[in-house]
Amino acid sequence: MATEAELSKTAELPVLASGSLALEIGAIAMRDPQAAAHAADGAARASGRPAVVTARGIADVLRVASGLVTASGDRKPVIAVLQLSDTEREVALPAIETASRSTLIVEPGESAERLAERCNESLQLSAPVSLVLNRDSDLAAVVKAVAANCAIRESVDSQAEVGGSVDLKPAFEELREAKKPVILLGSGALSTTALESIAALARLWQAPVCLTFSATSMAADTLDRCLALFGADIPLLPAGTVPWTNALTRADHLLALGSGLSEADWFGLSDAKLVRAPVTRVALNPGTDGIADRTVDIDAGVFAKAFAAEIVRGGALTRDNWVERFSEARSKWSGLVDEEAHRAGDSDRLSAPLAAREIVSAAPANAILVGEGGAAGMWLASYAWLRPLIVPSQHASIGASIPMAAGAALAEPDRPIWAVVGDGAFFYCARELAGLAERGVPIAVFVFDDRSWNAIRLVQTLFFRHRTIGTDLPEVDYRSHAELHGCETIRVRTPSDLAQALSLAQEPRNKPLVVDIRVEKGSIPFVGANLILAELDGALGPLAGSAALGGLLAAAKDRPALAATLRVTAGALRK
Amino acid sequence: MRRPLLIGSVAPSGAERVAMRLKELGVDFVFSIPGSQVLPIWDALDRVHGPRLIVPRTERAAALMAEGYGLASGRPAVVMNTLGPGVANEAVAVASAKLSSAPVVYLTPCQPPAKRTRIDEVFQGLDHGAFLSGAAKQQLLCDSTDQLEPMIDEAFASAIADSAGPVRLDVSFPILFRRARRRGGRQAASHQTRPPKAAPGADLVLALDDSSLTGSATLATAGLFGDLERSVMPGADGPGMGAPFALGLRLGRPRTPVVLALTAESLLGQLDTVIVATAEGVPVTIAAAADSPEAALAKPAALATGAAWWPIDSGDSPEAVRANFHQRTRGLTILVVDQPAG
Repeated sequence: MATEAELSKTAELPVLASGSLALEIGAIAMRDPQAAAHAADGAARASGRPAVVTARGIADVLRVASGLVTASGDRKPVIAVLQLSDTEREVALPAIETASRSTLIVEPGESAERLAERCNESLQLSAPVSLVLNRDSDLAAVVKAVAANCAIRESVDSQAEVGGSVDLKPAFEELREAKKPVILLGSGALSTTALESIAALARLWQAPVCLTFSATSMAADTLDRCLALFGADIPLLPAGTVPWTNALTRADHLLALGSGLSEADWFGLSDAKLVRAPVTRVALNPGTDGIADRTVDIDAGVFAKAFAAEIVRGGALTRDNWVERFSEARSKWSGLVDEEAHRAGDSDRLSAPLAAREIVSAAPANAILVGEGGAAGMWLASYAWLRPLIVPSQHASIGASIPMAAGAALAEPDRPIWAVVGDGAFFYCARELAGLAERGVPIAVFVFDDRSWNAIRLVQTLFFRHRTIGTDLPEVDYRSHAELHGCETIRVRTPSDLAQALSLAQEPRNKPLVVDIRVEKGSIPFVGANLILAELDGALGPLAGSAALGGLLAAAKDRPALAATLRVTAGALRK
Repeated sequence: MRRPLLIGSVAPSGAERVAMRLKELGVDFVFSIPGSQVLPIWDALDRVHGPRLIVPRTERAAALMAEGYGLASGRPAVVMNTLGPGVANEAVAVASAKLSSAPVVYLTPCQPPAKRTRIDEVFQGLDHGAFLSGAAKQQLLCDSTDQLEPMIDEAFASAIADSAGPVRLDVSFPILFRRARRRGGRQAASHQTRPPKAAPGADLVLALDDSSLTGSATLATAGLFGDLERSVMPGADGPGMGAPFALGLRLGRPRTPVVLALTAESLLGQLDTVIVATAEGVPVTIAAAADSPEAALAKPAALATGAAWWPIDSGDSPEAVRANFHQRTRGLTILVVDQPAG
């Protein structure tokens, strides 16, 4: 197995394991098997390449299954090589099969190379993939074969030629009628060739491009490519922002390319049925969906190229200035979020938005930012606009950002890795900091210490009449804990402390830096406000909804970005 | 904080009915990590003056505490984590309770039927039943308010019946908000118990973080060698899960000293439980042989968490050390031991 230093120079995939197994097979050692799965997930998200996690026995395999659920939600190319006896399989195999999108049971006598080949086939179709071996199999040999031979190939579409078995004309005819077209770009359409075709189509069709939540946190190199292709003239709109919501709710036809149209892809909108435009969904092997009005089973890039040719031939009806308005909206929104950060703090008070904004501003341009599902992660997503970003979208899992950052550092050693974690989530995987310190991995971790499970406390505040039960956390000295794990640390209580900490984070070092940031309790990230509104409109009914909306509006006083988010979502709800 | 009372003329919500039934069943504790979907029950638990809510730092810890509580008390413990990733995180602990035959009831909100048919597309969607079908003893699904009390009773009865084990009850999230009068009697099936399985009758409960520690030399010098025969540990044997399990033992056996043996490495991965125990009024003492390599890590860990630090003097006899453990009936004592070779 390649060492950490060698990995970046080879095509071999990173392999993660925990405990004595890591030593036995020469894998990168994590403290906990679930963290090993998250680290493999983080490596896959950062690079777009597969990563391998391995474990043996019920206790470890089930903890890997817990981690795989997050990777599976976002269909990340993690390969789990797992060893179980027949008896252990009875307990653990259902969890593995549910958490993975493909599960391969090793055949008696099957060679490691053949198994790697089968794994590769599954990887093209449906990741993550689990390989389940019996106790007699040579685990190390299988892991080695998988790490050396598995890769994602760019899909070659058998229906690439227009005029093949898929009749595209009905879709083209409908789409050409659109006066306010919007493209929803999903993570299934991020290959180099697809992006080139989609950028060309967006330019010809004059359509703004909304990123799904999953695509908003695309691999770092893919984002670089994306930004170069789309340029300044076609607005690329990150999920959850006001211009994104505006585009999706005002469109008269939505072309979803490479998106599963899951709730997480556009959460806050589908549940509340805010998108009223017809939806044409284009994806290879699209599977089930109850939302699209028309589904086309073809590679998104091939479709985009063919539709662009159709527009060249016959033109389109896009309204003048339709796309320009989103370029303007994007600039205006950028100003609002900055204004909100500044209004929310002063020289003594450190607010979550100010902290998030300053962290994103100070992070080197090539840094990968890592967040998670709690309020700290939502604040990061609120400010990390079109920056390399890792955030679990489908499951919005908490506690994964430290091991995901460890995986990202493994896969992208030349990029700085900056992660945020909430105080509620800190202890899920804090021990992994020790391994990072031992290996000299210089990630920066920012702990948002607001003494609460903030995202949940907000729901209590809004829906349960401020009865905040069980969501206030005791005082914990996170700096001392990080020191126990061998990290460099600094404590932040004021904006000037933060400036000092950010200077430190930018300096070279040979261990993780943990920044314990005390922020005010009760802040509402504007990216999450869509979700809150969807919940009040959908699950809780109008009575709870109106009470919650009142609470949200009160909280939006002096919060220009939150107020704008509420206005655009509530406005669409009223229609 | 204002605590609105339930008003008799208003039919209770599903969440209130769950809370009332848990109270009627005599449940002491609910081990729970928050998610939006469990909040209606949390709110109702407070309003009916129901079981005490214990909020650890991870779903796995919540479930392991329940395993320890169930084994120590002989009464079903209740875990209430949120759906999707919350259930995912408890997987190893469900299997652990099955392997140790611990009576545990997992009461979990789940997606409504319409969303379960396309669970992969749903935000935080996970097929709980499929995911834990190998790990749970039995799984129940409640889609109707009429079925709430009968199914809760069935889950409790099954958790302690014959070969005890973890029973999961998924409750469709929207019915927690639905108001409907309860039918039938309010008397629950009963405070059913079974004989405690964890070191019954012992004057000290020794918990091990994992089975490799039986060869630890520190256990002999601390006078605990004789307790090994009746020691307990999580059913899914593996390091890193002993602390929440031991806190559960402590809560389930309030008057017997509980000592957890673990390595320094494992302690550093489980300090969250020390913090939670302290916050819940269970004082924690961290002990290690003075001047040992273990003490070098254990002492700062005690300081960082607010636990008491007990350096065991090498001049103390094993009997004297054990007697000291024995006096600590209120709290939880964590003994940091050497990792046996091999």
